[in-house]
Amino acid sequence: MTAMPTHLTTVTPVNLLLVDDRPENLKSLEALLRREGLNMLTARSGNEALEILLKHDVALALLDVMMPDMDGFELAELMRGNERTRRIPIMFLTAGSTDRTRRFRGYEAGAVDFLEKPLEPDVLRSKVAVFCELYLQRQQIAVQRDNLKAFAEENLRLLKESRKYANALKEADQRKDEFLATLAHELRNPLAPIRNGLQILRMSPDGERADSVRDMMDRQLTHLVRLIDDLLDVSRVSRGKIDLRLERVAVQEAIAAALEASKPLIDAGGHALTVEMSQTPLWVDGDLTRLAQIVSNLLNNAAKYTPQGGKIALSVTESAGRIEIRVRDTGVGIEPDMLPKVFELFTQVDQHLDRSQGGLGIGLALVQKLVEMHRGTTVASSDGVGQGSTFTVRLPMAPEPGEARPDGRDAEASPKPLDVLIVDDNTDSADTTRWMLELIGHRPRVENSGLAALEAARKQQPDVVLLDIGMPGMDGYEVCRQLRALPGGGDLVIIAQTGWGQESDRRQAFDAGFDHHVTKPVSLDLLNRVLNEAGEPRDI
Amino acid sequence: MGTAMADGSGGNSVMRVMIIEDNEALAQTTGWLVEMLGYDYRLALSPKQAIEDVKGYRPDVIMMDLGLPGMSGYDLCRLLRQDQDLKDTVFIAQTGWGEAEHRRLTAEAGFHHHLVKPLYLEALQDLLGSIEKSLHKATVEK
Repeated sequence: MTAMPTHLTTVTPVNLLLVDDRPENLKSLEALLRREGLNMLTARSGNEALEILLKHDVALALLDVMMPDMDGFELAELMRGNERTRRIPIMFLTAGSTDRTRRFRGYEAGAVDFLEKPLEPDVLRSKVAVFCELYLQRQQIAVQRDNLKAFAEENLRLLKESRKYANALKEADQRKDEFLATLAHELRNPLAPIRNGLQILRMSPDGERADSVRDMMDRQLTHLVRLIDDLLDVSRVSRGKIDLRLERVAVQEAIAAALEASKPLIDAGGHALTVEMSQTPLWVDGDLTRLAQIVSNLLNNAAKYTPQGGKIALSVTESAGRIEIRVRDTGVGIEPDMLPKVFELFTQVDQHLDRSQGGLGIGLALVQKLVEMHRGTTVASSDGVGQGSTFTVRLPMAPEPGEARPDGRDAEASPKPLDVLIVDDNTDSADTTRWMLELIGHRPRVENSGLAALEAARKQQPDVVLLDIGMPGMDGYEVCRQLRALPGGGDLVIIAQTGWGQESDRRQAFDAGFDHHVTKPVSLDLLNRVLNEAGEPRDI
Repeated sequence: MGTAMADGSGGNSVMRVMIIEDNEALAQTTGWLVEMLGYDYRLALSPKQAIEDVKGYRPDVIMMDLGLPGMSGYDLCRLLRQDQDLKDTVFIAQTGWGEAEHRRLTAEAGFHHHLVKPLYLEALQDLLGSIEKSLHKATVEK
């Protein structure tokens, strides 16, 4: 359908059809008319001419009138009768003058001209040139018409396409608005009780109730952090900015971690959970944390969309070189037309169930993307509303590892007290980190700017520097480089602390000379683990 | 004026506040706040529970969330306002949305007040305090 550029048609030669029963006449005609861009097709009879006309487009036909079998008039009439040839201009060549009746018959048959032999070369050439020019113009118009048609079709296609995109955009925009409203709602859900809790603690900071308030605030905060982590994950995954840390792991290990993570939600729903899993390790090449996240998201989903006191079944089986992880529930189920959509971002089946269980509709989207990254597949099935749902994840199985993995997790060694320099322009963040470090037996000190930190490190070299990245003036990367340049700076353990868990940040941090990278808010557990590692002698 | 009366005089019992909220943590902490302000409270985690408990509890004040499971807060308010036993009860809507449009909707549904989440203790204290005063006043006038 691509339009052919107009100039190309002028390069193809123009065909002239010459019909005469005498070869010598044909030869002299050819000699007379020969010029560049003209192609002579010669025929010695009407039948031969018709055959040529079947195969070629012709600009002009020069017909001898007097021929045996089929004379020029008969040929002209046949040409008139055929759709393909009826528009070809015809010039009759006659010997001597032609009487009026014959001329009349000729014109009736479609002749445009009569030329009498002997032919006047100049006249013949200029007449032929006119018809060739006409033919070329007609060709050009045809090409232009085709072009126009192609353009019109292309425009129509573009219009349809842009309508489609506009609709998709509109839909996406609407979904974004809905998502933002849901997001605000979901963020406020844990925030509201945290604010209440804070006010209660302010009024009565001690006693049994204060303990339960603090527990509640801890749970709600964990929930909030998890929401934000999920959000960041989803944006990272959809922009392809997530790296799997692949290793050969037993899928059971991931399942155990997932069960632990999802237990509170399952228990809160009063659901009965059954787990069916073989004891022999099933190996997979995967990222343990992400695999656990996949299973945990499926379990959370089941717990959320199953009314109080339901049943959730988790099974892990092996079939045809694949590991099948299946989560079944007795929950609200999924309508058939919703089934293909459940993995779309921000989709929620539930519009009527308890809204506080609603979530953001990102858990399943994450599951599908993470499973894809593990070269696996995810399938949702349900017999309909009220019939429960089943989610099946299939992962390619990996061979058993050659040798047992050395257990990297050392027994809890009592931490050696470390001199930790905390650098953060956010004093609240810095102070809380200092309190946590004091609680676990370290000797922390705080500086609120990069310059002050360099000064402090110069005076007394710390064991560990916990460094915020986003600081005004000198950012964490620069502080890290300058710390490394200090005498003995190579021995420092420097940990980057950022609000963004993006992989690019992580890489940038390592490039700047950081030993570790942690994402805020940092839990006591993680801090403890990183510092324990930092406390171990590094060279051999 | 009639407001200058001794605390607890006239045999008035403590003001009763029913909190209808499906977010359990929020319900419980709001309950504790109400209790700390010196009032009695009862939690209802669903419209169903609220409808069942409202007869026995006879709340002076009902605070409710608008996004409730099974029935919206607007409908629940309309339903409860038809109950003759609750004709003097003060209804407070608690929502995450503070726009004029939502305030108009809650007023139309029959709510007397509209509080935006998260709750500020001072706002709650002021509101419940003024309701308590008008309740006393109404009792005295009877």
